[in-house]
Amino acid sequence: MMIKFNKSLTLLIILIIGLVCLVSPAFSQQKQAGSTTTTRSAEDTKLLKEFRDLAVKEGGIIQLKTLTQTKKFLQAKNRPYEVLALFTSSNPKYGCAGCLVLNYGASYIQYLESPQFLEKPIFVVILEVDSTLEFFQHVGFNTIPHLVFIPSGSKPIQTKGFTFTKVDQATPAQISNFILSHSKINIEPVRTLYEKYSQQFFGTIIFIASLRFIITAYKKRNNPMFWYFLTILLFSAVIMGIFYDFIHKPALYDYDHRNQKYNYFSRGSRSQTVSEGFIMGVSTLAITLVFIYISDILPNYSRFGTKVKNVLFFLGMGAIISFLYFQSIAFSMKYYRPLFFIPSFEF
Amino acid sequence: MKKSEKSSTATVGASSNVQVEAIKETPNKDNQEFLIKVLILSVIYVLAFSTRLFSVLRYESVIHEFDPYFNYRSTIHLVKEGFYSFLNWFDERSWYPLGRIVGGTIYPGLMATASVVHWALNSLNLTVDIRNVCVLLSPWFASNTAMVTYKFAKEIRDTQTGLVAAAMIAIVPGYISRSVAGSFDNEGIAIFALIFTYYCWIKAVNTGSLMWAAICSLAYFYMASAWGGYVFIINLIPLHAFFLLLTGRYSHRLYIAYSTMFVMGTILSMQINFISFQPVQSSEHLAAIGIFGLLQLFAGLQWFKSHLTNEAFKKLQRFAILSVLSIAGAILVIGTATGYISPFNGRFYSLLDPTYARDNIPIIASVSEHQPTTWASYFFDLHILVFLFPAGLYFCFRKLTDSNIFLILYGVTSIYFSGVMVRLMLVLAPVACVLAAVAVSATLTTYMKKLKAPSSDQNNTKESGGVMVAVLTVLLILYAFHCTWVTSEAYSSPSIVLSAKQGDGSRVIFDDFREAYRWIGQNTADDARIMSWWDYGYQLSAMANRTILVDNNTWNNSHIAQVGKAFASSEEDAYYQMKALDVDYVLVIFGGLTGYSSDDINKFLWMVRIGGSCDPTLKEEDYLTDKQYRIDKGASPTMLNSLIYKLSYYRFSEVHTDYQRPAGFDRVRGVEIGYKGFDLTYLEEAFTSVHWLVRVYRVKDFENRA
Repeated sequence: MMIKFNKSLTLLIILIIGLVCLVSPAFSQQKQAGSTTTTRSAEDTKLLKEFRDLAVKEGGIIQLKTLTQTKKFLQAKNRPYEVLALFTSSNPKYGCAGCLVLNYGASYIQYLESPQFLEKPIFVVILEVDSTLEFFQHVGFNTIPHLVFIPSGSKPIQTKGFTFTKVDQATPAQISNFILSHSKINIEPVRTLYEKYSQQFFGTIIFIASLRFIITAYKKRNNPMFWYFLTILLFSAVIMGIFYDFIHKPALYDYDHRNQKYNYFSRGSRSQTVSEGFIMGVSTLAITLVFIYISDILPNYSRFGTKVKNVLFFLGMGAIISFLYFQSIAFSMKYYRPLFFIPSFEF
Repeated sequence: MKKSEKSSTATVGASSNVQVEAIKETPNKDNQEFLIKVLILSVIYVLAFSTRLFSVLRYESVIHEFDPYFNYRSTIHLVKEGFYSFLNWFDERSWYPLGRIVGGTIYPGLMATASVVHWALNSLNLTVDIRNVCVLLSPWFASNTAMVTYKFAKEIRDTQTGLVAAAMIAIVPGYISRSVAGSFDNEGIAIFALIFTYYCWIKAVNTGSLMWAAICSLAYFYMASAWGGYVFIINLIPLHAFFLLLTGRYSHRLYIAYSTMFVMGTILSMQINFISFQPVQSSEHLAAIGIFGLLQLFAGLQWFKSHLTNEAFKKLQRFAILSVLSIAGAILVIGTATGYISPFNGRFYSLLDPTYARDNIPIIASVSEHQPTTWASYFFDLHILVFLFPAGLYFCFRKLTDSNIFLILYGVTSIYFSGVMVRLMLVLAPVACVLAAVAVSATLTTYMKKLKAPSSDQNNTKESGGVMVAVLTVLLILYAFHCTWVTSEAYSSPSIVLSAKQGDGSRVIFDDFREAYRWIGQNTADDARIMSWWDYGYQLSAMANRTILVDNNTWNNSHIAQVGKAFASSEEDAYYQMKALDVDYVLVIFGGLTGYSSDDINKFLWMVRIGGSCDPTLKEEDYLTDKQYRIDKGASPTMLNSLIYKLSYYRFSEVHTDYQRPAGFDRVRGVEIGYKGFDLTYLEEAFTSVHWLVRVYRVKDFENRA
């Protein structure tokens, strides 16, 4: 009897604990939600509403056009929202063509229109140098572009620890991660059709190409020149620095913030961009193939007459010299000396 | 009739006279060619040696870099104590408190070669100092390499190709980088051994001679005694044999060459303590064993074929192949599962999977010579060979022979490996020279014929011949200029002594390293233990003769991680860690004053990564600000309080480095340091070299508890 009683008592306790556990999160959530709504003053709510209306009117990302407007929203006391601010310029005199590209509108607009927005509001704004120069100076920016996260509250804007690097190459997913790392706001990045299906698309192409390659390799297995072709492919890939690209994942090209222009070639002698590796690999391959043509294929080709052969020879030689000259220029960017030059020596 | 007979007799007589003259002329021509050949080879021999002497002329006869210091110290031990004492040497002054069994953890070929040369010279009453032998050994071997390359290329193609290849390898920067005077490292002699082994192998395959196969195994033994790169040989030769089998080029010559070379070479290589049983136990050597078995099977089946009907042979063939493959597979699985067959080591694995080291072994990834190669490095180290290399491959593919197939395989594998690790440019350089020589030689042969052919030949135009010869000549001259410039400017700096060009073109010398090591050697206790990052371990033990915690051998990752952790910790935490390791002095390299970029601050993130590989609480992001490595005001507090920061920048805020720059401006990082005017609590400055390149701190004793 005693045992029976104990069992039912235990079950009852477990039931009570379970109920408490089920109810308490909802309770705490309600309490939290209640607290956010209660702590937001009428003034704050008004500011938030005004800012949100502006965002809706501008289709998501807000262009803050005047200094007054900027100060009002970004330097307000006890800001009830977070802000993601792009400090940039559309003025051609600054020569920053890629600075205004913030590929984030499609992802952000969904969040702006969602019910969660009022619980965790965040705005995305663009600040122009020409119209808000004073604000740029106040934050301490001498260059563009900068993408800065401004947290809610009254603290002054901080750049240290709140700035996104490589703005010009930012993807929506990276910006969402940046926002998430500084707040608890999770904005699902909207992916383009290409981003969604590119993996499957390229996977299929690679599969078909591999299949095709295996069939071709089997058919041509007795042809040495087929194997030479494969060797040349490996050679080109290595000369392009493909392993460097895999391991260090360099940028496709460099962006010179100081001079505000794109560079295909990086300055460091021990580094490279993907594009420069490709350019140099292809030009080397071109030199090799032309050299092979004029050194072996052309002299032994009996269908052409002497004149045609001569023309082809000089065209080929001209191409080789041009490519070598180009490579020499490219090399001088790395080592500050051209590849083909007569140096002076001293002890 | 008689007349005609007479005339015909006269014609015969005339032609026989011509023949006699031709016979008389041929030896003369041969003699002339021989003399020219000897002259060219002599010039190449001297050139290969002398072009590597820039560093001696510019600085002095001094050992370079880091590893050579250990090799030099070991050679001195070998010369003084003898070979057996050397093999049994336990070095208690390195890897404190663990020590290192030197004899069992090195390739002794280099030290043995240097001591034999030293002994031979002294026996001839040429009293050359052991240091000079060590300094000049690599250039001398480079000359020998050029000669062996001549023989190798000649064996593969012809004399002309051999001469061009020898001339090219004598000055190619990719090889010079490891063989200048003072570069007393394994690679200095290993490339000679590598090419010599390949030459003997080709000779053995071409002739089927037991003698050449035996010489090949001896060359392989020498290579195995000199450098870990012997694994490349023991994989390339089996690969060659396998491809010969695959392309239907099996011959008794191949069987004799491979079987002899494999058996003798394996047994001989196992005599090296460091290699020991690896040839029969490690994965790197399995291919060689497999091909040996395959050759025996193939040869056996060939024999059976001659005694059986076609049908019976096919059955036997199927049965034999299936059984052998099953047995080999079972042995492989059981051996790997039981641990008898060891897996690939980290360096070998990172060659097969280039991203492996980056993701798994920071100690390998941290070494600059293990980085993947950029296009610029190829042009820097190979110049015109970059485009002549694939052209040479083309000529090999056009006329496939046993030796051409070997050259193709050597070229393809080495270009792949060089792409993964910039260090392996060294292996690529010789074959690039040979292949480029094939291309140059073949092209010149074609176009010289055009130049020599009579003008009446309508199919021939001399212009194209002249232009091609002229362009190739100019390119080869530019190649020589480039190689000499690279040798002079880039590869002749000893690292231990630095130099910089001033505005007026004069050179200023920074001799801080030797100054600091000498200070340590003369001002610290004989049993003092010095903590530094592993890069300077070999130099410290060789030049300062003091006990060190870690060195360039990098055999114990967790021990290096402890040192990395100490440098990454705050001064107080590091103090207790250093005390636990009995550290008396700490040495740091600092380039902020002079602009020397290879200093400890620039290497620091690797210390954190390696330290973090053993202690997960050590996180790289704690030392970064927005994923950026900074030392200015924006640096993370962890970074500003780390031991390496404090030891590097102690009192630096009192110094003005550049005009119109604030005090404490770091010339390497190009910023003003973020934490100034701090004091040290647990360490005290003991020595700072003239240009602040080397800073030594004494670790204070524990405070008196009373």
